[in-house]
Amino acid sequence: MGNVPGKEQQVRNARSVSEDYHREGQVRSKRPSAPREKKREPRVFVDPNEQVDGGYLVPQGVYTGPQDFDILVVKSLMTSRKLAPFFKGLQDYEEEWTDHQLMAAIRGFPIPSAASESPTTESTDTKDASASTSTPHAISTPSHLSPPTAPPQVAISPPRHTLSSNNPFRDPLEHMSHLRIDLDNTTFSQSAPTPSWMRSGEPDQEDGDELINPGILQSPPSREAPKPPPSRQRAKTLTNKEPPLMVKIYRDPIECPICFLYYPNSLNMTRCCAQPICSECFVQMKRAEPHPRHDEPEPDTLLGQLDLISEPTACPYCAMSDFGVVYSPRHGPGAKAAGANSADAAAAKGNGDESAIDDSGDSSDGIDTTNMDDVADKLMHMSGAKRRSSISVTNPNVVTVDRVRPDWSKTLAAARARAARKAATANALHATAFVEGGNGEVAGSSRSSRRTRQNHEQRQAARAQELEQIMLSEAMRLSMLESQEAEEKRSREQESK
Amino acid sequence: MNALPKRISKETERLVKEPVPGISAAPHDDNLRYFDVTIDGPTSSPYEGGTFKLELFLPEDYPMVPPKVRFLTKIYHPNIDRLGRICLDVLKSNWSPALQIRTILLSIQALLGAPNPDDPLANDVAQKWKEDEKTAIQTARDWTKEYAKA
Repeated sequence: MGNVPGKEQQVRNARSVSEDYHREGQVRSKRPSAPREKKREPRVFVDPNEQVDGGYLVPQGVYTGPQDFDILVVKSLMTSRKLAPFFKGLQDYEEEWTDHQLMAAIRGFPIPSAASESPTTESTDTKDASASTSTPHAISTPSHLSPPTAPPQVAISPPRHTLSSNNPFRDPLEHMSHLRIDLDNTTFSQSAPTPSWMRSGEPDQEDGDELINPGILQSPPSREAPKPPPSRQRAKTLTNKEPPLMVKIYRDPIECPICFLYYPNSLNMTRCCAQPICSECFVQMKRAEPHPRHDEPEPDTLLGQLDLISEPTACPYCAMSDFGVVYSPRHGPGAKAAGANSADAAAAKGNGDESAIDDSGDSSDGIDTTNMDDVADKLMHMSGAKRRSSISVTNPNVVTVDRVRPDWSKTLAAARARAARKAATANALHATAFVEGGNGEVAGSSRSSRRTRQNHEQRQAARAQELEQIMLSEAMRLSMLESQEAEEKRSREQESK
Repeated sequence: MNALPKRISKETERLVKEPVPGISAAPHDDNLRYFDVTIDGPTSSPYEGGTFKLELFLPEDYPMVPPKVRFLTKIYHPNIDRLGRICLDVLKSNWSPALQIRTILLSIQALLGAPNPDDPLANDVAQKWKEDEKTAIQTARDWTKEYAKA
């Protein structure tokens, strides 16, 4: 592939590829899937099999608590590739691992010995890989397994394979069975193995399927090369089978400094200090609970209690406020294939790019955002070549914590309303006590009958209630006003983005 | 209980493999989120020569929430109260998931070397510290001798 396809081209390709695989997916989903397991958080509206860049759109089970981020926002950010997908994290990684061993690690299986794969099998794999016409990345770089024996004839698929998601008729439970990935190796291997049909967009996957269900041979439209008959051994290890693309993606991984798992090195980078963070950790980041201002001298006053604040999340690494990340898939290994090309392309565009990079820190608003490829190139340069300056939070490519947790303003408003209610109740109680105190005097002096006193008390209770109501509504009005302001400010900010 | 997150097992592993001088942390066999910790008093501090026992617990949401750490050994320090609770920003609002057991324990060790009576947890100690630092330091030294000697 001589040069990088333009954005439109890639999108078009992605679409056609996704349609192909979509069809395949339908056929394949009829196959019996891995044993079903109970899913913690039913999220049937995002297909857990859907993949972007070799990762998923649902968390892979690193965090077991409530997944309370906005999953639809996250999904759209991932499919628009502003946020890295939820890659499956590797528990360990050794540089000297063979591809075979790395594949086992990706699958979550125990790592076999380096010599366990027979040479014949390997060569078969290689042939398959190179023969498959849908090999996206083998186009410009040889497969890691070993150099392809023949160059691929047609390059129909771009390095991006966004699966189409519009298949609401698949059994959601079936997907759930793959969702949970526990962190110890054994359960990992039970739940993690994604059937190879799920790994759409990756070459070579059909082999395994054929072994189980030869009927599927007809379904992939892209197949041309006839296969050598599968060996017995391959049949045994077919669930281990992983296309070389996965191996490429996971070569030279990055350890996420927060969950300590290994991820493809195209991970999100913090906008401020260019440190990696996996999406699973990123979506767990959230604002602290609303709290009174530290410098508020009298938090007991009504105003003091209403004046709760909630600051934007700070970067976990450098503590810079407004934590945000950028994802540029093309500095990953999948992109390394195309990397040389895109670098060339960037260079060909002239050195304007280079200067724009330096500017991006302080004048990122001015970045030409119409060309996403440019930005991706810049990011690639930044993270690759030198320590880049920070990217402004208003840069459209920056994904902030607030973006994936848009309900923070509601939380703050709710906390303020709660505080207001509390304050109002307290004040009402004070008022009631005052009125009752006054009443005591009156009652004592006038020796009123029991009935009148009762009457009196009832009226007073009613009055206190009324008072409370008034104060409550006033307090709520105040907090609504504030939250409205915050909301307006936010939408203004978003508009200005 | 859920399986132990890789982060915790790796942290534990690394703590054992590359121990921090003057600090030890070992998980309980029956609860790998619960650690027995010892911190040596920093040199040229009133806690020098003492070995302080602490307990450290990693909550379910760790590392999104800070570990819970408490002194078990009695200590005379303006930022540590009688129950051993520690007033340290990184254990509260300034916690970051990029911090680790190792870094937190180092922070605590540093706190021993640099008491901060202006942000006290133990009010009486802080008061003393401000009014009569010399005596306060002597008390800290005495307590170290009395409670923190192995």
